[in-house]
Amino acid sequence: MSTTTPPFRRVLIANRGEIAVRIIRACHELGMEAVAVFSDADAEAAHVRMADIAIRLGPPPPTESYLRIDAVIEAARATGAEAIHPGYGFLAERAAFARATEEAGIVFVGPASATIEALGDKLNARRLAARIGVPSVPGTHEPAPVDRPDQVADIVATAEAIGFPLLVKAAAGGGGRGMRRVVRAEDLPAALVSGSREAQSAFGDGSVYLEREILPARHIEVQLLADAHGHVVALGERDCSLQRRHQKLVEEAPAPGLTEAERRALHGLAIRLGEAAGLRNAATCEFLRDPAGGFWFLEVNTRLQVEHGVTELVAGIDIVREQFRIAAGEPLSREVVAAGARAATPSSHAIEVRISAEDPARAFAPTPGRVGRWVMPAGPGVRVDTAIEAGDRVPPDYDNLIAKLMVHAPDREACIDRLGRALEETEIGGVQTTLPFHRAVAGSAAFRAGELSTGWVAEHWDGEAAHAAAARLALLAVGVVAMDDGADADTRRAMAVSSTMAAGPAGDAVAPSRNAWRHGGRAAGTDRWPS
Amino acid sequence: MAELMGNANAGDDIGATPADAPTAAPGPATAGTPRPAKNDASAVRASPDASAARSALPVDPRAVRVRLAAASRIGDEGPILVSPAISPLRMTNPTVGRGPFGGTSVGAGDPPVVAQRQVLVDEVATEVTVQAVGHERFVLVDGAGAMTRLVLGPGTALPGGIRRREVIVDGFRFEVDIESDHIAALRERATRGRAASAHGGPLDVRAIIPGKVVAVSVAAGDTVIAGQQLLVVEAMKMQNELRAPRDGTIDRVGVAPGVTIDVGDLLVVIS
Repeated sequence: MSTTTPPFRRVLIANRGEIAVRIIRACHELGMEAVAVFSDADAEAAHVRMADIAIRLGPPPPTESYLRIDAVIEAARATGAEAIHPGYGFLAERAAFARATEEAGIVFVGPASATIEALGDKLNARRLAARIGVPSVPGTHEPAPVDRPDQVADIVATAEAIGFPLLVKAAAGGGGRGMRRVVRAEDLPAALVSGSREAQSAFGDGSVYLEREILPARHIEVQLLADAHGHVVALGERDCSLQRRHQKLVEEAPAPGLTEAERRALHGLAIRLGEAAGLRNAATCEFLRDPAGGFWFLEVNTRLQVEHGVTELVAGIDIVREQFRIAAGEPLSREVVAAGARAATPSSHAIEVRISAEDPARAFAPTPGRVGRWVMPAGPGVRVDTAIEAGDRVPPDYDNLIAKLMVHAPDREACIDRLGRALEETEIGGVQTTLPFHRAVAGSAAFRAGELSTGWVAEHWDGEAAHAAAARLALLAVGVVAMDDGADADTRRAMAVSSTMAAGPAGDAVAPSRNAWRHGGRAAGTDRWPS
Repeated sequence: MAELMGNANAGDDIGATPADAPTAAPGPATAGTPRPAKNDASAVRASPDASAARSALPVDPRAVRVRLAAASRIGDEGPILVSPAISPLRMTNPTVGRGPFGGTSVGAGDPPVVAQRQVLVDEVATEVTVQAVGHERFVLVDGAGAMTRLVLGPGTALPGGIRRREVIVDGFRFEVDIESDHIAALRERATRGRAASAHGGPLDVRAIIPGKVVAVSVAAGDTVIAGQQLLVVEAMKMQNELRAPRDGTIDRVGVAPGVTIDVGDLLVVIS
């Protein structure tokens, strides 16, 4: 490990979950000490266990823990951390946090606060793209008026000009929060209000704007790395079209079906944006690809992406490791420059599925809870990034991503086969996850044919039918096993009842075991209303 | 009546009746006095209820009803009845004979299956084999030879002699409640009167996700139509609207903005 000097002696990771674990791994490989921060919900979490030092931030709500800039900076000061890596989410794209870090004399592992300001605000980024002639999705460039009855006519007229359906999006947004799809003009005022309310709650900034909905579209993004000396390199693109609620479910690198010329052009647009913004460290330029093959700039994420791993697998670069080197002032490494030169002619394929605590049969509703069985796949070409172990709780306070399963193979066909094999090995109990959806993706002829779009989930996934088919098998299997175990089960039941009886107080007039179903009825009666 | 459960093995002993249960059978029920088996059987047969009509045939002691637990249901999926294809009363069934004792072994190299067999699923003969393949893992093979891997948890005992097991299949996890068919038949008979009187009564709207109530859009006395927003629950940084499942009048609102709720909490009652 110690053939090179570590970029820093000690680094604080201002995050939790799988990404904190991912970054701590990079720290340890570089010979750096890792400082974890945690909320009370995460006191025993994996990132706390793995770190060399761990500092409590506060109670579970993010605003009282992971979003507290003062507490995070203080933790870095108290532990003598020389750098802070923000991961993704939480404070990663808050210019105020990057600025506070810089002002505290600590290195922020990411772009300069001024760059985050310019690119992290989507409205700013759209104006920047317009200035340098990179086409962005048609829409507005200033915050829309919210809850202003006097300006409703104006914004509706603007919306009519952009064309319906359109999207209300949060300027400070990400992950689809604050986003509303509007089909009819009369729904626009309410969408502005509710989108703004959600954006205010999620980001502390209620600014929203309008953008045309491009349909069908593919979501394709370019991974950039840039050093402090003005060099910007594109490590390749990722296709992240499979989304629900505008949040990604499946990502792959490279984007299937692009020609080498298209790749070069796309990477060129991203590099121009990065150069114009004075980008340093890691960022991602997101584009939509319309059915005619045109690319429309969407936004820049000035941070490590959830899906950075698929690019790492294809490019052969450890992006987090490079982030630390760049933050320490080193120029882009030879390996990164070489990977950039190969980016338009990729020689392997990687796919990631985001395993989240969500029920894909109930419109991907969140399913926080305690994980029971937890069996992750292994074998050639399989990488799992997670912070979960059997018995861990998925708290309702944070993002519900619990594991990223990545597979890598020489080509896309083999990669999909490998994905199917890996998913077959995966078993998660206790909480419902997105696994059924991912299994359907791996088995889908449309996916294999590269028919990708942001509407894919709605078109190809029937969660209720999949649920019903699986439920039928589950009931049948349980029924057959229970029937065969019949005599045993009855004995167990009888024993369970009599042990309850034995445990009850002697002479108890309402001994619960008097008969078990009567007890059940009584319990249902007393449970009717929360007292 | 404690011996009811103890007698559960005796499949033909359906005579034991809960002391306090309303029953369709004529005559006063005396607490603690078991009815003669014959009377109870007639009571079941006399009922117009569909499930009772099915129970008119003496229940196979091994038959089980399995149903998704409420948390695993999407709609109102009912139970299925799984019973042995061979039962003393079904010897005239022409399919009998290909059952557990008439099955044929498959050769080496085939899936880890010892025999094809037949069970009745809701009275329909169904080819299925479920084979244990290690700790909590099973393979189900259907009549067409399609193989499905499952994980079957050990389960927990619920009140009422119901056993709940977690099943993982095709990435889904289900909680499945298993109940002996003849005990279920007894319970149904006991509660039939109550269920009938509750028909058309108030509807409890319960939380299906845990989270925090951020807005309540209705108050007691409001008239709502199906699909109207009742409240907004924030969970995992997303705002989820909860809508009225049917038309009605708000009887009661059990939560206020800011309240943290858990799955199953009563939120609103619509009458």
